[in-house]
Amino acid sequence: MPLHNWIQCNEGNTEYVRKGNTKDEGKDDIKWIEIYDQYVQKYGLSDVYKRLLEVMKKKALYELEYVITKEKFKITEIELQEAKLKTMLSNNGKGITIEQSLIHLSKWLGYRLNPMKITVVEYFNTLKEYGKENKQK
Amino acid sequence: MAKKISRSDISESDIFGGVKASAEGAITVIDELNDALKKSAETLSKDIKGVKFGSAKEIKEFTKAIKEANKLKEDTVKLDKERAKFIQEIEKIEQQEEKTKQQKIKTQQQELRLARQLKQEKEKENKTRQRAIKLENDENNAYKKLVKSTRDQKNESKRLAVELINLERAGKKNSKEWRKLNTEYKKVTKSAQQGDKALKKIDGTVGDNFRNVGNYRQALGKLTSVLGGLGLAFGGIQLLRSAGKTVADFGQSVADLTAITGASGKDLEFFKKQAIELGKDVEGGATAVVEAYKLIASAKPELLENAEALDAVTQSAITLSQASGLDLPDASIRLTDALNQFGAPAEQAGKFIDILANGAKFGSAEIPQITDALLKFGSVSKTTNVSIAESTALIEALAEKGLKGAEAGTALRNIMIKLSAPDALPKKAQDALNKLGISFEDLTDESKPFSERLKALKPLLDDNGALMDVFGLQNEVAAINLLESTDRVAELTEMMDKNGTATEQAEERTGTLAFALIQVKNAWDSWILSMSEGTGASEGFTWVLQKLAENFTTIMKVIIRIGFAWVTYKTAILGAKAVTFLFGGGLQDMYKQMVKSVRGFKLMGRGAKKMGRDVKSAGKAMYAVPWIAIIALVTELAIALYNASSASAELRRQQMLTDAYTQTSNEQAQKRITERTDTNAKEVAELERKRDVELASVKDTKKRMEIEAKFLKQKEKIISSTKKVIKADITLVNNQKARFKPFKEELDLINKKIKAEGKAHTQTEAMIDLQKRVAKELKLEGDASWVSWFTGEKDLVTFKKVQRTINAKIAGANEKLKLYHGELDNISESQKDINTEITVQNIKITDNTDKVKGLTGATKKLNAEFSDQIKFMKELNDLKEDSLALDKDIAELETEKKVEEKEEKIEDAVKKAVNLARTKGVAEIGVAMDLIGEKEEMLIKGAERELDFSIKQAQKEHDLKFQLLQANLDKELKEKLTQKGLTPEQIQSIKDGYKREQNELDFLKIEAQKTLNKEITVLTKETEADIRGIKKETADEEIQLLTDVNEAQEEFEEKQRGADTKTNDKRLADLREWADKSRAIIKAVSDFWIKKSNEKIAGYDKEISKAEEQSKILQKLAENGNINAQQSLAEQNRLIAEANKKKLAEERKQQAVKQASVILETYLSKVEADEKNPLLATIQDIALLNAFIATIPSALEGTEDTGANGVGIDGKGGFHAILHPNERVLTKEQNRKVGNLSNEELASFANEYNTGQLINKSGAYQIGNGWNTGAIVERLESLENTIKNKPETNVQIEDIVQGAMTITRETRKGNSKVYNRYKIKG
Repeated sequence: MPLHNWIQCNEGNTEYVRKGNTKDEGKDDIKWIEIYDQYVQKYGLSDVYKRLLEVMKKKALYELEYVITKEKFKITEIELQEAKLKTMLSNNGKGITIEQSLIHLSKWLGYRLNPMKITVVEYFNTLKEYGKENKQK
Repeated sequence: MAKKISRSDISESDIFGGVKASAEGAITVIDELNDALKKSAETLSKDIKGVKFGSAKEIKEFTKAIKEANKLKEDTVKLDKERAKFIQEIEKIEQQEEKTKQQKIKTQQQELRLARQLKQEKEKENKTRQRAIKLENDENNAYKKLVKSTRDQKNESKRLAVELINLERAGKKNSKEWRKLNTEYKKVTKSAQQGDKALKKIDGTVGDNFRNVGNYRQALGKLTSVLGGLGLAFGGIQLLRSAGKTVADFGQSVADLTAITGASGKDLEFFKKQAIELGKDVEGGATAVVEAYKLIASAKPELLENAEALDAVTQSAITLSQASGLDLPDASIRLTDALNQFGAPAEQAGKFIDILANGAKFGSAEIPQITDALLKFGSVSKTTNVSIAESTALIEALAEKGLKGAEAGTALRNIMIKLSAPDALPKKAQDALNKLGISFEDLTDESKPFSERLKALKPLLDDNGALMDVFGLQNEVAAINLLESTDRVAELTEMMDKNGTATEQAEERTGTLAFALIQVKNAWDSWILSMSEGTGASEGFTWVLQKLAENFTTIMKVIIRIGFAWVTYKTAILGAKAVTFLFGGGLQDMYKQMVKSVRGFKLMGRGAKKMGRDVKSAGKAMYAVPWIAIIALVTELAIALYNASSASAELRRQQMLTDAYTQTSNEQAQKRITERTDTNAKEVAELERKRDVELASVKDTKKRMEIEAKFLKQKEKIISSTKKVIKADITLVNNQKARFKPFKEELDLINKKIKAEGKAHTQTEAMIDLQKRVAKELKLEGDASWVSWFTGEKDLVTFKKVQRTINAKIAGANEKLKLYHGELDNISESQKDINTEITVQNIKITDNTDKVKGLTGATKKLNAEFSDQIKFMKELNDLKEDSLALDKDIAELETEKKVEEKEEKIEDAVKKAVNLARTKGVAEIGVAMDLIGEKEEMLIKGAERELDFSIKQAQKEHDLKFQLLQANLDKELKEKLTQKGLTPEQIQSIKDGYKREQNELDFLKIEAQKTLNKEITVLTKETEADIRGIKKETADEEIQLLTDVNEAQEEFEEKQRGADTKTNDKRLADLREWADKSRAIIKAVSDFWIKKSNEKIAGYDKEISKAEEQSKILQKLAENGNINAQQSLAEQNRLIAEANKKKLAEERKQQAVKQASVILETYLSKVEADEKNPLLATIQDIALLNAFIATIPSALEGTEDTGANGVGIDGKGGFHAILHPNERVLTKEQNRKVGNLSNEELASFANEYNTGQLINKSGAYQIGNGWNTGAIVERLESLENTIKNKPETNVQIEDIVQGAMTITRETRKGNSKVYNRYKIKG
């Protein structure tokens, strides 16, 4: 699967899961879930993503607690979590977009990586190596 | 005129109310939505917490969930904002309402002020106009002119008299100036006298005697002095003050009514009149009634057009106020609120108050709570076609569950709104209703009663979630209560239509001494107001006091009656024989007399209205003496207090004796029970010992079982025989009780008779016989005072003692019965248990036989064995259940039968009691009450037995369930263990598994037992509620009995009053005795007055006689030319005239006392003649006499001519006339000689002649037919001669010559002169 399709699917456009001109719209989501599961199986979730999910979870739980208890303080807690999320999602934090990572990887490799051509597995493997290299440094 | 309150003014609050209700409704909806969100949040929270992010699917679902959580939060925030907005809106509305309210009050106050100002200005204007008219009239009116000129002349006469006196004091009497003044004085005085006389004549002709009456102060003074003479206090000033306040308050209140309602003219007069009339029975009097008019008219402006309708609603408000204890303004507001809520017309006010009263009577919520609730949901009831009756029933049904007042009203409003529009319910709620098969059409069918509509929702009771979805958390409890009470609502609705309950309750609540006192005060106030309304306050007062004084003699006899009774009462109370007096009925007799007096008063007052003016006045005057009624009421209070204290003392004694007997009986019964229990225990122990011995020697299972069965049978036998002994004891006690009962009934009858007649009886044969029988039965022969317990105080006490003893013995017997029945119940239970054990044992034996057979045959499989075992257990349980159910059915049937029998007996006893009350006037309800009590006891026992059965059955079902589970578990184990080829490990594993399952089963059993216990608690509570219902029914039955008997008793009393000639004779004898006593008092009072009066008259006579003697002496001196004597003579004559006047007045007083005495005598004769209304008859007679007297001409004021129209009763044209002491009558001839001189002129001349101002007889005869000039000439000649011959002496002093002075005396007589000279030497 080209990395471009992966990025599109990640953004919710699961029709990019299709190969060629197949028109099996009903199964896009299922297929995407299967592919993503494969990814999780192979690489596991990233720490950043895990933290992101945890914060989101926390925020959701605070929201629900507010609905149940009507305690005004919960709103403050929610806002705190929202701020945290914002930071994590911005580039100032530890997370960067795939497109940004491609630039870094291209520089490291010395040639431009084309998301339309590079496969998802190649991308993640390169990323892994790049990570190792960086750690050694 | 003040602005009328318009309909829009009144409905303003409704507009706010609508907005507020809508805001509140919105908040309710928001709260419900919030609840739903909360539930979703709880579920979602659980889901999110469990997320592990293990798969993409999970992450995807998580993403969805967090979106949902966010949406929930957003929704909640939005809802909260909306809610806050609505709350703010409500607060704003409330502020607005408060502001409007304040504004309204302010406007009303301004309007009131304006109205008052306008009124004052108008009054001022009227007064000025009236004064101008009066002035104009006075100027144009000849009569007034005469009045004015006479008054002016009188004043002038007084002024001149003072000037004359001043001149006399200055020694200028007879001077020219004095004479001129004197002539003028006489002229003016004469003219004034003539004017006054003419006026009196005119006034007399038209019957206006005001010139003889002073102002009210004088009238009051007169009355006070008359009362003071008899030693009676009369707080005249206080009466005036209180009356003044009453008039002022009422006036203000009426002014307010005019200002607020715009009522005027005929309507206002009608309101005033009605307020005075209705005020007699209302706390706060006429002023409170006017206040109610005001409030009702403000609440229902359409009534302003119809005074009668407004009055009718007000009367209903008065009844409601009396029935509920609310004050009248509050009751008025609540009634009109209720009417307005249902949009009901004024004509339904009567129906509404009856419904409210029925609600309070048959339900738990009182009238104020009902109206509080109605205020919340009345309008919703109206729109959903729920009647006021059903609405009240709904309130009462909720009240019975503890939800009352506004809280209940709000809950009912919410429920009604939801039911009226199920389509508007949240989808979830609609789904729930559909799922339960509840038809929306049934819910919205307004042709059905609301209870029917509610019934359609009953399936919700089985689904709490659905119930909450439909009604929301806030209304859930109320909804459950209503759904559970649909039958009760229907039942209560039927009760609400009973008519006349409000009036009944009002009568009940107002039948108190306190209210009677209020009525006395109101009667006085009403009378004052009616007087002031008719004639103006001050005129009314003068009239009252005058009439009181005039009719004092008539009033006095009532006071004497009551005073006599009061003194007798005080003497008797203070005396040593007070108790005898009270027991002898003295107080009661006296009280009856007093009540008669008061009734007589009222009757007379009413009857008098139809008669002539004099009688009317007397009636009203007497009606205005409230203290007499107060004395009677105070006496009533004294009696009530006495009765209460003596009754409580008797109750105390009764209670002590009852306690003592109950204690003894308890001890005796307990002893018997202990003895029996011990004996039983010993016998059973002996049996057990024998059984154990036998068992020790036998190993065979079946035989052992048989031994056990034998033991059980023997044990049952012991219990059975003990039961027989207990039953024998019960029969014995019942027999004893049965022996007391007839005596108790007879004694009760005698007691009632004694009470009814108010004094001790003479012994009759029947009584002596009864006495002997009772004495023998109770073993009371040794009691010395028993022999004659009907003859005196001591005997009466003993009679009470006997009654107490019987009552206490019956109570003791009841105590024994209670204990024995308890014992019997316990032992019966033991017997049933043993029977069950026997059955079980028999089954075991059979089972064992089968097993043995199976073993020997070795062909039956183990499965079959266990199946059989389970089957047996089931059968055994069925058997137990059947046995229990059978016992229960038998007991129910027995109870039903007993209750039916008891009801028949009760019916008979009630009939007997009613007949007895109707035929003999005796209220003997003891038997019926006892039977009703016994029935109640039976029903309660039945309910308890049913509870007991239900509990046992539930417990047994529980036991069986676990026995079966246990059996299955055991079966499974055995099945597993019987498998072939099991290794020891496998066996161990099977056993471990069994152990685990066994533990689980044990745990389950404990939990199930807990649930069962809760169910048992519910069952117990239900039974308790049933028992409460039974007790309420009993109370109703007892009240019905009392009502029936009371009515029958009243019937009897009514008959008795008309038919009992014997009693009538006695009554007449009493009346005669009373009349004699009264006569003695009247005679004593009259004699005292006449004696005192005679003494005074004798004093005046003495004074006159002495003055006349003195006058004669002065006369002589005056004749001799003594000027001083002439003046003293005039003074002396004045004194004689004054003394005569006083004597005349005293003689008139004496006549009045004699007349009073005659009136009282007439009254007493009427009483003795048993006139139906002696007082009225007397007044009629006296009125006739007065009317007759009024037709006879009288010359009390003097007359110049009796006229030419005689009736010729003596053949000479004569007629009847009234003469008074010391009057002078002239013949026709003599009167002709007097000519045109008025009596006054004639008397003046005579007086001047007598006092020497005219020449008297001895000096001249010129007063006659003409002048005798000869005599005058003769006198003049004599005078001339005297003057001529009178010697004249002149003394002159000459010159002094040679030291001597010469004096010359010249004497001239006639024409000759004589000189004499004298020399005086120094």
